[in-house]
Amino acid sequence: MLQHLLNGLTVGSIYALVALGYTLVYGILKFINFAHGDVLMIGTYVALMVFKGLKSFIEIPFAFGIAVLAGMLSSALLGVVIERLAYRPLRHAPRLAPLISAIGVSVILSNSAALIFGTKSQRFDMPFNNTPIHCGSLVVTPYQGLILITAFVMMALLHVFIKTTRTGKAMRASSENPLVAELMGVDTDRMIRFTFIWGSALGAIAGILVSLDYKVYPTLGSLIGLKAFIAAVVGGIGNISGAMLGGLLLGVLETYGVAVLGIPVGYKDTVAFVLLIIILLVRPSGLLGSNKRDKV
Amino acid sequence: MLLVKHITVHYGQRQVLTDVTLLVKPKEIVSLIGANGAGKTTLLRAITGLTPLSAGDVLFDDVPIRSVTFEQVPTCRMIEKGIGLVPEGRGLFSDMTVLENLEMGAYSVRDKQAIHLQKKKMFDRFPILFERREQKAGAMSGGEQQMLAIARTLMARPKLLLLDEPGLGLSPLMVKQVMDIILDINKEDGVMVLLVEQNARLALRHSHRGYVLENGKVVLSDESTLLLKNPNIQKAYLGG
Ligand SMILES: Nc1ncnc2c1ncn2[C@@H]1O[C@H](COP(=O)(O)OP(=O)(O)OP(=O)(O)O)[C@@H](O)[C@H]1O
Ligand SMILES: [Mg+2]
Repeated sequence: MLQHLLNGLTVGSIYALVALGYTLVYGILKFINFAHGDVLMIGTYVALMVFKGLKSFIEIPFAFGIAVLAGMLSSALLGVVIERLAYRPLRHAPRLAPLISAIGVSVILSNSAALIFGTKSQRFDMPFNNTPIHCGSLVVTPYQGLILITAFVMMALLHVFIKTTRTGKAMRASSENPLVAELMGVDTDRMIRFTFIWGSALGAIAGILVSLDYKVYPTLGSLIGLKAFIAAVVGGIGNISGAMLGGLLLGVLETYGVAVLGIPVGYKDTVAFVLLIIILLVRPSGLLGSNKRDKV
Repeated sequence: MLLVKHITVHYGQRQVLTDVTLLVKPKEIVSLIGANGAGKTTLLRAITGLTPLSAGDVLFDDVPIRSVTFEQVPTCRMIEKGIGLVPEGRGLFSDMTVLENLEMGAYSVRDKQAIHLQKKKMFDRFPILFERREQKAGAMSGGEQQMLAIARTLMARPKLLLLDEPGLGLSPLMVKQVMDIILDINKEDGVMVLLVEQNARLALRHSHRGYVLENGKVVLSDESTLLLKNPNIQKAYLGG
Protein backbone atom coordinates (compact mmCIF):
# COMPACT_ATOMS: atom_id res chain seq x y z
CA MET A 1 0.00 0.00 0.00
CA LEU A 2 2.71 2.44 1.05
CA GLN A 3 4.60 1.57 -2.09
CA HIS A 4 1.64 2.57 -4.26
CA LEU A 5 1.33 5.79 -2.33
CA LEU A 6 4.97 6.57 -3.00
CA ASN A 7 4.61 5.75 -6.69
CA GLY A 8 1.43 7.78 -6.87
CA LEU A 9 3.03 10.78 -5.21
CA THR A 10 5.89 10.62 -7.70
CA VAL A 11 3.57 10.85 -10.68
CA GLY A 12 1.38 13.29 -8.81
CA SER A 13 4.22 15.67 -8.03
CA ILE A 14 4.86 15.95 -11.77
CA TYR A 15 1.18 16.72 -12.40
CA ALA A 16 1.31 19.23 -9.57
CA LEU A 17 4.28 21.10 -11.03
CA VAL A 18 2.55 21.41 -14.39
CA ALA A 19 -0.84 22.20 -12.83
CA LEU A 20 0.76 25.17 -11.05
CA GLY A 21 1.50 26.69 -14.45
CA TYR A 22 -2.17 26.58 -15.44
CA THR A 23 -3.39 27.83 -12.12
CA LEU A 24 -0.92 30.72 -11.76
CA VAL A 25 -1.84 32.12 -15.15
CA TYR A 26 -5.55 31.49 -14.66
CA GLY A 27 -5.39 33.23 -11.29
CA ILE A 28 -4.33 36.51 -12.80
CA LEU A 29 -5.61 36.40 -16.40
CA LYS A 30 -8.68 34.16 -15.95
CA PHE A 31 -7.87 32.14 -19.00
CA ILE A 32 -6.48 28.66 -19.66
CA ASN A 33 -3.08 28.79 -21.26
CA PHE A 34 -3.47 25.84 -23.60
CA ALA A 35 0.08 26.30 -24.86
CA HIS A 36 1.53 25.48 -21.43
CA GLY A 37 2.18 21.81 -22.27
CA ASP A 38 4.08 22.80 -25.40
CA VAL A 39 6.11 25.45 -23.62
CA LEU A 40 7.34 22.82 -21.19
CA MET A 41 8.05 20.45 -24.06
CA ILE A 42 10.32 23.03 -25.70
CA GLY A 43 12.13 23.56 -22.39
CA THR A 44 12.62 19.80 -22.12
CA TYR A 45 14.12 19.68 -25.61
CA VAL A 46 16.46 22.55 -24.83
CA ALA A 47 17.59 20.75 -21.68
CA LEU A 48 18.13 17.56 -23.70
CA MET A 49 20.22 19.38 -26.31
CA VAL A 50 22.31 21.17 -23.72
CA PHE A 51 22.84 17.94 -21.82
CA LYS A 52 23.92 16.05 -24.94
CA GLY A 53 26.24 18.87 -25.89
CA LEU A 54 27.89 19.07 -22.49
CA LYS A 55 27.98 15.53 -21.18
CA SER A 56 31.19 14.51 -22.88
CA PHE A 57 33.02 17.60 -21.64
CA ILE A 58 32.06 18.05 -18.02
CA GLU A 59 30.93 15.80 -15.24
CA ILE A 60 27.46 14.41 -15.66
CA PRO A 61 25.77 15.99 -12.60
CA PHE A 62 27.06 19.42 -13.64
CA ALA A 63 26.02 18.92 -17.22
CA PHE A 64 22.58 17.88 -16.06
CA GLY A 65 22.28 20.80 -13.66
CA ILE A 66 23.18 23.27 -16.40
CA ALA A 67 20.78 21.51 -18.77
CA VAL A 68 17.91 21.86 -16.27
CA LEU A 69 18.66 25.55 -15.77
CA ALA A 70 18.81 26.07 -19.53
CA GLY A 71 15.48 24.27 -19.93
CA MET A 72 13.84 26.36 -17.20
CA LEU A 73 15.21 29.60 -18.62
CA SER A 74 14.16 28.87 -22.17
CA SER A 75 10.64 27.86 -21.12
CA ALA A 76 10.35 30.95 -18.95
CA LEU A 77 11.53 33.18 -21.76
CA LEU A 78 9.21 31.48 -24.23
CA GLY A 79 6.29 31.88 -21.82
CA VAL A 80 6.98 35.60 -21.43
CA VAL A 81 7.34 36.13 -25.19
CA ILE A 82 4.11 34.26 -25.92
CA GLU A 83 2.25 36.32 -23.35
CA ARG A 84 3.57 39.52 -24.87
CA LEU A 85 2.84 38.62 -28.48
CA ALA A 86 -0.16 36.31 -28.39
CA TYR A 87 -2.12 37.12 -25.23
CA ARG A 88 -1.55 40.72 -24.21
CA PRO A 89 -2.95 42.24 -27.42
CA LEU A 90 -6.13 40.25 -26.73
CA ARG A 91 -6.51 41.15 -23.08
CA HIS A 92 -9.59 43.26 -23.64
CA ALA A 93 -11.00 41.08 -26.40
CA PRO A 94 -13.86 38.62 -25.74
CA ARG A 95 -12.79 35.76 -23.50
CA LEU A 96 -12.72 33.22 -26.30
CA ALA A 97 -10.05 35.12 -28.26
CA PRO A 98 -7.00 34.46 -26.06
CA LEU A 99 -8.11 30.85 -25.72
CA ILE A 100 -8.09 30.39 -29.49
CA SER A 101 -4.78 32.22 -29.63
CA ALA A 102 -3.35 29.79 -27.05
CA ILE A 103 -4.48 26.79 -29.07
CA GLY A 104 -2.83 28.36 -32.12
CA VAL A 105 0.43 28.87 -30.23
CA SER A 106 0.23 25.26 -29.04
CA VAL A 107 -0.04 23.97 -32.62
CA ILE A 108 2.81 26.21 -33.78
CA LEU A 109 5.08 25.04 -30.96
CA SER A 110 4.50 21.31 -31.35
CA ASN A 111 4.91 21.51 -35.12
CA SER A 112 8.07 23.61 -34.81
CA ALA A 113 9.46 21.06 -32.39
CA ALA A 114 8.74 18.26 -34.83
CA LEU A 115 10.43 20.27 -37.57
CA ILE A 116 13.50 21.23 -35.56
CA PHE A 117 14.04 18.17 -33.40
CA GLY A 118 12.38 15.52 -35.57
CA THR A 119 9.39 13.39 -34.72
CA LYS A 120 11.54 10.49 -33.55
CA SER A 121 11.70 10.34 -29.78
CA GLN A 122 15.04 10.89 -28.10
CA ARG A 123 16.45 9.94 -24.74
CA PHE A 124 18.47 11.64 -22.07
CA ASP A 125 20.49 8.39 -21.72
CA MET A 126 21.73 9.16 -18.28
CA PRO A 127 24.89 7.11 -17.84
CA PHE A 128 23.99 5.81 -14.41
CA ASN A 129 21.64 2.94 -13.94
CA ASN A 130 18.30 3.24 -12.33
CA THR A 131 18.58 0.23 -10.06
CA PRO A 132 15.94 0.39 -7.35
CA ILE A 133 17.04 0.91 -3.80
CA HIS A 134 15.29 -1.08 -1.08
CA CYS A 135 14.53 0.69 2.12
CA GLY A 136 12.59 -1.66 4.34
CA SER A 137 9.64 -2.90 2.34
CA LEU A 138 9.74 0.15 0.08
CA VAL A 139 11.40 0.18 -3.31
CA VAL A 140 12.58 3.54 -4.60
CA THR A 141 14.35 4.13 -7.87
CA PRO A 142 16.94 6.93 -7.96
CA TYR A 143 14.82 8.74 -10.56
CA GLN A 144 11.82 8.54 -8.29
CA GLY A 145 13.86 10.03 -5.48
CA LEU A 146 15.10 12.81 -7.75
CA ILE A 147 11.58 13.57 -8.96
CA LEU A 148 10.08 13.65 -5.47
CA ILE A 149 12.82 15.77 -3.95
CA THR A 150 13.03 18.24 -6.83
CA ALA A 151 9.27 18.61 -7.14
CA PHE A 152 8.69 19.16 -3.45
CA VAL A 153 11.60 21.58 -3.14
CA MET A 154 10.25 23.62 -6.07
CA MET A 155 6.74 23.66 -4.62
CA ALA A 156 8.09 24.76 -1.26
CA LEU A 157 10.08 27.53 -2.96
CA LEU A 158 7.02 28.77 -4.80
CA HIS A 159 5.00 28.68 -1.61
CA VAL A 160 7.56 30.75 0.29
CA PHE A 161 7.86 33.18 -2.60
CA ILE A 162 4.10 33.70 -2.87
CA LYS A 163 3.51 33.95 0.86
CA THR A 164 6.40 36.04 2.09
CA THR A 165 7.99 38.19 -0.59
CA ARG A 166 6.78 41.61 -1.62
CA THR A 167 6.44 40.50 -5.23
CA GLY A 168 4.72 37.28 -4.22
CA LYS A 169 2.12 39.20 -2.25
CA ALA A 170 1.63 41.57 -5.15
CA MET A 171 1.07 38.55 -7.41
CA ARG A 172 -1.64 37.27 -5.10
CA ALA A 173 -3.18 40.72 -4.85
CA SER A 174 -3.21 41.10 -8.63
CA SER A 175 -4.85 37.76 -9.07
CA GLU A 176 -7.59 38.66 -6.64
CA ASN A 177 -8.19 42.21 -7.84
CA PRO A 178 -5.88 43.56 -10.54
CA LEU A 179 -7.35 47.05 -10.75
CA VAL A 180 -7.11 47.66 -7.02
CA ALA A 181 -3.58 46.28 -7.04
CA GLU A 182 -2.76 48.87 -9.73
CA LEU A 183 -4.14 51.58 -7.47
CA MET A 184 -1.66 50.43 -4.79
CA GLY A 185 1.16 50.85 -7.27
CA VAL A 186 1.47 47.28 -8.58
CA ASP A 187 2.42 47.03 -12.24
CA THR A 188 0.09 44.19 -13.22
CA ASP A 189 1.88 43.54 -16.49
CA ARG A 190 5.00 42.80 -14.48
CA MET A 191 3.06 40.42 -12.23
CA ILE A 192 1.68 38.64 -15.27
CA ARG A 193 5.24 38.23 -16.52
CA PHE A 194 6.20 36.73 -13.17
CA THR A 195 3.39 34.16 -13.33
CA PHE A 196 4.52 33.08 -16.79
CA ILE A 197 8.13 32.83 -15.62
CA TRP A 198 7.26 30.69 -12.60
CA GLY A 199 4.69 28.55 -14.37
CA SER A 200 6.83 27.84 -17.42
CA ALA A 201 10.00 27.15 -15.42
CA LEU A 202 8.18 24.70 -13.13
CA GLY A 203 6.67 23.08 -16.21
CA ALA A 204 10.11 22.63 -17.78
CA ILE A 205 11.36 20.91 -14.63
CA ALA A 206 8.39 18.57 -14.74
CA GLY A 207 9.00 17.82 -18.42
CA ILE A 208 12.66 17.04 -17.81
CA LEU A 209 11.88 14.86 -14.79
CA VAL A 210 9.34 12.67 -16.61
CA SER A 211 11.60 12.33 -19.61
CA LEU A 212 14.53 11.00 -17.59
CA ASP A 213 13.01 7.59 -17.31
CA TYR A 214 11.18 7.80 -20.60
CA LYS A 215 11.81 9.84 -23.70
CA VAL A 216 11.45 13.24 -25.27
CA TYR A 217 9.07 13.75 -28.22
CA PRO A 218 7.18 16.70 -29.73
CA THR A 219 3.78 15.84 -28.26
CA LEU A 220 5.24 15.19 -24.84
CA GLY A 221 3.38 18.15 -23.41
CA SER A 222 -0.09 17.19 -24.61
CA LEU A 223 -1.07 14.32 -22.35
CA ILE A 224 0.78 15.57 -19.31
CA GLY A 225 -0.67 19.01 -19.96
CA LEU A 226 -4.20 17.63 -20.15
CA LYS A 227 -3.77 15.62 -16.95
CA ALA A 228 -2.27 18.57 -15.14
CA PHE A 229 -5.07 20.82 -16.36
CA ILE A 230 -7.56 18.35 -14.89
CA ALA A 231 -5.56 18.33 -11.66
CA ALA A 232 -5.70 22.13 -11.55
CA VAL A 233 -9.48 22.13 -12.06
CA VAL A 234 -9.95 19.38 -9.48
CA GLY A 235 -7.93 21.38 -6.94
CA GLY A 236 -9.77 24.59 -7.79
CA ILE A 237 -8.35 26.51 -10.74
CA GLY A 238 -6.60 29.69 -9.68
CA ASN A 239 -5.81 28.26 -6.25
CA ILE A 240 -2.11 27.48 -5.79
CA SER A 241 -2.43 24.95 -2.96
CA GLY A 242 -5.32 23.45 -4.92
CA ALA A 243 -3.08 22.76 -7.91
CA MET A 244 -0.56 20.98 -5.71
CA LEU A 245 -3.26 18.98 -3.96
CA GLY A 246 -5.07 18.16 -7.22
CA GLY A 247 -1.86 16.96 -8.87
CA LEU A 248 -0.85 14.72 -6.00
CA LEU A 249 -4.37 13.38 -5.61
CA LEU A 250 -4.64 12.54 -9.29
CA GLY A 251 -1.28 10.75 -9.27
CA VAL A 252 -2.19 8.70 -6.21
CA LEU A 253 -5.67 7.79 -7.50
CA GLU A 254 -4.29 6.71 -10.87
CA THR A 255 -1.73 4.49 -9.24
CA TYR A 256 -4.26 2.97 -6.83
CA GLY A 257 -6.72 2.57 -9.67
CA VAL A 258 -4.33 0.36 -11.56
CA ALA A 259 -2.71 -1.42 -8.64
CA VAL A 260 -5.58 -1.88 -6.23
CA LEU A 261 -8.81 -1.61 -8.19
CA GLY A 262 -7.30 -3.53 -11.08
CA ILE A 263 -8.14 -0.98 -13.76
CA PRO A 264 -6.29 -2.12 -16.89
CA VAL A 265 -3.18 -0.01 -17.50
CA GLY A 266 -4.59 1.04 -20.86
CA TYR A 267 -7.54 2.67 -19.11
CA LYS A 268 -5.40 4.37 -16.51
CA ASP A 269 -6.03 7.80 -18.01
CA THR A 270 -9.77 7.44 -17.58
CA VAL A 271 -9.26 7.78 -13.82
CA ALA A 272 -8.42 11.44 -14.35
CA PHE A 273 -11.56 12.10 -16.36
CA VAL A 274 -13.82 10.23 -13.96
CA LEU A 275 -12.33 12.21 -11.09
CA LEU A 276 -12.88 15.43 -13.03
CA ILE A 277 -16.51 14.62 -13.72
CA ILE A 278 -17.20 13.69 -10.10
CA ILE A 279 -15.55 16.86 -8.79
CA LEU A 280 -17.36 19.05 -11.28
CA LEU A 281 -20.66 17.53 -10.22
CA VAL A 282 -20.05 17.70 -6.49
CA ARG A 283 -17.90 20.80 -6.14
CA PRO A 284 -17.86 22.79 -9.36
CA SER A 285 -15.30 25.23 -8.01
CA GLY A 286 -12.82 22.44 -7.18
CA LEU A 287 -11.57 21.12 -3.87
CA LEU A 288 -9.99 24.33 -2.61
CA GLY A 289 -11.66 26.76 -4.98
CA SER A 290 -13.91 29.31 -3.38
CA ASN A 291 -17.05 30.98 -4.64
CA LYS A 292 -16.34 34.01 -2.61
CA ARG A 293 -18.39 37.16 -2.82
CA ASP A 294 -17.42 40.56 -1.60
CA LYS A 295 -19.25 41.37 1.54
CA VAL A 296 -21.15 44.62 1.29
CA MET B 1 -4.28 70.53 -5.72
CA LEU B 2 -6.44 68.51 -8.06
CA LEU B 3 -7.84 70.21 -11.13
CA VAL B 4 -10.21 68.34 -13.40
CA LYS B 5 -10.56 70.41 -16.56
CA HIS B 6 -13.49 70.00 -18.94
CA ILE B 7 -13.37 66.22 -19.10
CA THR B 8 -15.67 64.04 -21.15
CA VAL B 9 -15.87 60.28 -20.80
CA HIS B 10 -17.59 57.66 -22.94
CA TYR B 11 -18.43 54.03 -22.27
CA GLY B 12 -18.56 52.77 -25.81
CA GLN B 13 -20.93 55.10 -27.65
CA ARG B 14 -22.52 56.39 -24.51
CA GLN B 15 -21.37 59.72 -23.09
CA VAL B 16 -21.26 59.35 -19.31
CA LEU B 17 -19.45 62.54 -18.30
CA THR B 18 -19.86 65.82 -20.16
CA ASP B 19 -17.44 68.72 -19.77
CA VAL B 20 -16.88 68.17 -16.06
CA THR B 21 -14.68 70.67 -14.25
CA LEU B 22 -13.83 70.26 -10.60
CA LEU B 23 -11.24 71.55 -8.16
CA VAL B 24 -9.90 70.25 -4.86
CA LYS B 25 -7.73 72.84 -3.14
CA PRO B 26 -5.05 72.10 -0.55
CA LYS B 27 -6.45 71.01 2.83
CA GLU B 28 -9.96 70.82 1.44
CA ILE B 29 -12.65 68.18 1.74
CA VAL B 30 -14.85 68.33 -1.33
CA SER B 31 -17.97 66.26 -1.65
CA LEU B 32 -19.48 65.06 -4.88
CA ILE B 33 -23.15 64.22 -4.72
CA GLY B 34 -25.51 62.88 -7.34
CA ALA B 35 -28.13 60.24 -7.97
CA ASN B 36 -27.35 56.63 -8.89
CA GLY B 37 -25.81 56.51 -12.33
CA ALA B 38 -24.93 60.21 -12.38
CA GLY B 39 -21.30 59.35 -13.13
CA LYS B 40 -19.61 59.80 -9.74
CA THR B 41 -17.66 56.55 -9.84
CA THR B 42 -16.80 57.21 -13.47
CA LEU B 43 -15.27 60.55 -12.50
CA LEU B 44 -13.03 58.90 -9.90
CA ARG B 45 -12.09 56.20 -12.40
CA ALA B 46 -11.22 58.84 -14.97
CA ILE B 47 -9.00 60.70 -12.50
CA THR B 48 -7.06 57.54 -11.64
CA GLY B 49 -6.82 56.32 -15.21
CA LEU B 50 -9.06 53.28 -14.88
CA THR B 51 -11.28 54.77 -17.57
CA PRO B 52 -9.87 56.79 -20.50
CA LEU B 53 -10.89 60.37 -21.24
CA SER B 54 -12.33 61.44 -24.55
CA ALA B 55 -11.67 65.12 -23.91
CA GLY B 56 -10.19 67.44 -21.30
CA ASP B 57 -7.39 66.87 -18.83
CA VAL B 58 -6.59 66.35 -15.18
CA LEU B 59 -3.80 68.18 -13.36
CA PHE B 60 -2.37 67.33 -9.99
CA ASP B 61 -0.18 69.97 -8.33
CA ASP B 62 -0.12 71.72 -11.71
CA VAL B 63 1.33 68.68 -13.48
CA PRO B 64 -0.88 67.06 -16.12
CA ILE B 65 -1.60 63.45 -15.16
CA ARG B 66 -4.44 62.61 -17.54
CA SER B 67 -5.08 64.10 -20.89
CA VAL B 68 -6.01 63.18 -24.39
CA THR B 69 -2.92 64.69 -25.92
CA PHE B 70 -0.11 64.10 -23.41
CA GLU B 71 1.51 60.89 -22.33
CA GLN B 72 -0.56 59.82 -19.32
CA VAL B 73 0.58 58.64 -15.93
CA PRO B 74 -0.40 54.94 -15.74
CA THR B 75 -2.76 53.88 -12.95
CA CYS B 76 0.02 52.04 -11.13
CA ARG B 77 1.97 55.32 -10.76
CA MET B 78 -0.90 57.34 -9.30
CA ILE B 79 -0.17 56.40 -5.73
CA GLU B 80 3.46 57.54 -6.09
CA LYS B 81 2.10 60.87 -7.30
CA GLY B 82 0.09 61.04 -4.11
CA ILE B 83 -3.38 60.07 -5.27
CA GLY B 84 -5.08 57.22 -3.45
CA LEU B 85 -8.51 55.81 -4.29
CA VAL B 86 -10.68 53.80 -1.92
CA PRO B 87 -12.88 52.14 -4.51
CA GLU B 88 -16.61 51.57 -4.45
CA GLY B 89 -17.28 48.28 -2.68
CA ARG B 90 -13.90 48.58 -0.93
CA GLY B 91 -11.97 46.20 -3.22
CA LEU B 92 -10.16 44.43 -0.39
CA PHE B 93 -7.93 41.46 -1.06
CA SER B 94 -10.27 39.21 0.84
CA ASP B 95 -8.07 36.11 0.71
CA MET B 96 -5.22 38.04 2.28
CA THR B 97 -4.92 38.92 5.95
CA VAL B 98 -5.58 42.38 7.35
CA LEU B 99 -1.85 42.85 7.79
CA GLU B 100 -1.12 41.78 4.23
CA ASN B 101 -3.75 44.19 2.94
CA LEU B 102 -2.01 47.01 4.80
CA GLU B 103 1.34 45.89 3.41
CA MET B 104 -0.12 45.97 -0.09
CA GLY B 105 -1.26 49.51 0.59
CA ALA B 106 2.37 50.38 1.24
CA TYR B 107 3.58 48.56 -1.87
CA SER B 108 4.78 51.80 -3.45
CA VAL B 109 6.76 52.79 -0.35
CA ARG B 110 10.36 51.58 -0.35
CA ASP B 111 11.37 52.86 3.08
CA LYS B 112 10.82 49.99 5.56
CA GLN B 113 11.00 52.35 8.54
CA ALA B 114 8.31 54.58 7.06
CA ILE B 115 6.06 51.58 6.42
CA HIS B 116 6.49 50.45 10.00
CA LEU B 117 5.64 53.87 11.39
CA GLN B 118 2.61 54.23 9.18
CA LYS B 119 1.39 50.77 10.17
CA LYS B 120 1.63 51.75 13.82
CA LYS B 121 -0.26 54.93 13.11
CA MET B 122 -3.04 53.00 11.38
CA PHE B 123 -3.28 50.56 14.27
CA ASP B 124 -3.55 53.50 16.67
CA ARG B 125 -6.30 55.03 14.61
CA PHE B 126 -8.12 51.77 13.91
CA PRO B 127 -7.51 49.53 16.95
CA ILE B 128 -9.89 46.92 15.56
CA LEU B 129 -7.44 46.31 12.70
CA PHE B 130 -4.71 45.50 15.18
CA GLU B 131 -6.93 42.98 16.92
CA ARG B 132 -7.83 41.37 13.60
CA ARG B 133 -4.45 41.69 11.93
CA GLU B 134 -3.99 37.98 11.25
CA GLN B 135 -7.56 37.46 10.10
CA LYS B 136 -8.57 37.20 6.43
CA ALA B 137 -9.92 40.54 5.26
CA GLY B 138 -12.98 38.83 3.78
CA ALA B 139 -13.99 37.53 7.20
CA MET B 140 -14.56 40.96 8.70
CA SER B 141 -17.76 42.93 9.11
CA GLY B 142 -18.70 45.61 6.59
CA GLY B 143 -17.63 48.42 8.89
CA GLU B 144 -14.30 46.81 9.70
CA GLN B 145 -13.74 46.23 6.00
CA GLN B 146 -14.36 49.89 5.28
CA MET B 147 -11.86 50.89 7.98
CA LEU B 148 -9.34 48.51 6.44
CA ALA B 149 -9.93 49.86 2.94
CA ILE B 150 -9.29 53.42 4.12
CA ALA B 151 -6.30 52.43 6.27
CA ARG B 152 -4.83 50.45 3.38
CA THR B 153 -4.92 53.47 1.08
CA LEU B 154 -3.53 55.72 3.82
CA MET B 155 -0.52 53.39 4.19
CA ALA B 156 1.10 55.13 1.22
CA ARG B 157 0.44 58.57 2.80
CA PRO B 158 -1.42 60.02 -0.19
CA LYS B 159 -1.80 63.77 -0.59
CA LEU B 160 -5.25 63.31 -2.05
CA LEU B 161 -7.74 60.71 -0.90
CA LEU B 162 -10.56 59.77 -3.28
CA LEU B 163 -13.38 58.00 -1.45
CA ASP B 164 -16.17 56.26 -3.34
CA GLU B 165 -19.19 55.81 -1.07
CA PRO B 166 -17.37 54.87 2.12
CA GLY B 167 -20.74 54.63 3.87
CA LEU B 168 -22.21 52.07 1.50
CA GLY B 169 -23.96 49.32 3.43
CA LEU B 170 -22.97 50.64 6.85
CA SER B 171 -25.25 51.48 9.74
CA PRO B 172 -25.87 55.23 10.25
CA LEU B 173 -23.73 55.17 13.37
CA MET B 174 -20.90 53.50 11.49
CA VAL B 175 -21.17 55.97 8.61
CA LYS B 176 -20.89 58.83 11.09
CA GLN B 177 -17.80 57.20 12.58
CA VAL B 178 -16.18 56.82 9.17
CA MET B 179 -16.94 60.47 8.37
CA ASP B 180 -15.35 61.61 11.60
CA ILE B 181 -12.24 59.62 10.80
CA ILE B 182 -12.08 61.30 7.38
CA LEU B 183 -12.36 64.69 9.05
CA ASP B 184 -9.56 63.73 11.45
CA ILE B 185 -7.26 62.58 8.68
CA ASN B 186 -7.90 65.81 6.82
CA LYS B 187 -7.28 67.99 9.87
CA GLU B 188 -4.22 66.21 11.20
CA ASP B 189 -2.33 65.43 8.02
CA GLY B 190 -3.81 68.03 5.71
CA VAL B 191 -4.87 65.28 3.28
CA MET B 192 -7.15 66.59 0.53
CA VAL B 193 -10.33 64.56 0.20
CA LEU B 194 -12.75 64.11 -2.67
CA LEU B 195 -15.73 62.37 -1.14
CA VAL B 196 -18.47 60.63 -3.09
CA GLU B 197 -21.36 59.78 -0.83
CA GLN B 198 -24.98 58.73 -1.17
CA ASN B 199 -25.83 60.36 2.11
CA ALA B 200 -25.70 63.93 0.79
CA ARG B 201 -26.54 65.60 4.08
CA LEU B 202 -23.72 63.86 5.93
CA ALA B 203 -21.27 64.48 3.10
CA LEU B 204 -22.09 68.18 2.92
CA ARG B 205 -21.84 68.54 6.68
CA HIS B 206 -18.39 67.01 6.61
CA SER B 207 -16.98 68.93 3.67
CA HIS B 208 -15.92 72.44 2.78
CA ARG B 209 -17.36 72.54 -0.71
CA GLY B 210 -19.61 70.37 -2.79
CA TYR B 211 -20.36 69.56 -6.42
CA VAL B 212 -23.66 68.25 -7.69
CA LEU B 213 -23.52 65.87 -10.63
CA GLU B 214 -26.61 65.19 -12.74
CA ASN B 215 -26.53 62.96 -15.80
CA GLY B 216 -22.79 63.41 -16.13
CA LYS B 217 -22.82 67.18 -15.84
CA VAL B 218 -21.88 69.43 -12.94
CA VAL B 219 -25.08 71.40 -12.37
CA LEU B 220 -24.06 73.22 -9.21
CA SER B 221 -21.03 73.79 -7.02
CA ASP B 222 -20.77 75.87 -3.89
CA GLU B 223 -19.75 76.04 -0.25
CA SER B 224 -21.23 73.00 1.49
CA THR B 225 -23.06 75.17 4.03
CA LEU B 226 -24.76 77.03 1.21
CA LEU B 227 -25.65 73.83 -0.64
CA LEU B 228 -27.26 72.53 2.55
CA LYS B 229 -29.48 75.60 2.56
CA ASN B 230 -30.26 75.55 -1.15
CA PRO B 231 -33.96 74.70 -1.61
CA ASN B 232 -33.38 72.76 -4.85
CA ILE B 233 -30.72 70.63 -3.22
CA GLN B 234 -32.92 70.12 -0.17
CA LYS B 235 -35.71 68.91 -2.37
CA ALA B 236 -33.64 66.62 -4.60
CA TYR B 237 -30.98 65.26 -2.25
CA LEU B 238 -31.82 66.01 1.34
CA GLY B 239 -35.30 64.57 1.45
CA GLY B 240 -37.27 67.85 1.38
N1 LIG C 1 -18.26 49.60 -17.48
C1 LIG C 1 -19.35 50.27 -17.92
N2 LIG C 1 -19.79 50.10 -19.18
C2 LIG C 1 -20.84 50.78 -19.64
N3 LIG C 1 -21.55 51.66 -18.93
C3 LIG C 1 -21.18 51.88 -17.67
C4 LIG C 1 -20.05 51.20 -17.10
N4 LIG C 1 -19.91 51.61 -15.82
C5 LIG C 1 -20.91 52.50 -15.61
N5 LIG C 1 -21.66 52.67 -16.71
C6 LIG C 1 -22.80 53.58 -16.84
O1 LIG C 1 -22.32 54.90 -16.67
C7 LIG C 1 -23.22 55.65 -15.87
C8 LIG C 1 -22.49 56.24 -14.70
O2 LIG C 1 -22.07 55.20 -13.85
P1 LIG C 1 -21.32 55.45 -12.49
O3 LIG C 1 -20.94 54.13 -11.94
O4 LIG C 1 -20.25 56.44 -12.69
O5 LIG C 1 -22.46 56.10 -11.61
P2 LIG C 1 -22.46 56.50 -10.09
O6 LIG C 1 -22.80 57.93 -10.03
O7 LIG C 1 -21.21 56.09 -9.44
O8 LIG C 1 -23.67 55.65 -9.55
P3 LIG C 1 -23.88 54.91 -8.14
O9 LIG C 1 -24.36 55.96 -7.19
O10 LIG C 1 -24.94 53.92 -8.42
O11 LIG C 1 -22.58 54.31 -7.74
C9 LIG C 1 -24.33 54.71 -15.48
O12 LIG C 1 -25.44 54.98 -16.26
C10 LIG C 1 -23.81 53.34 -15.77
O13 LIG C 1 -24.84 52.50 -16.21
MG1 LIG D 1 -20.73 54.74 -7.98
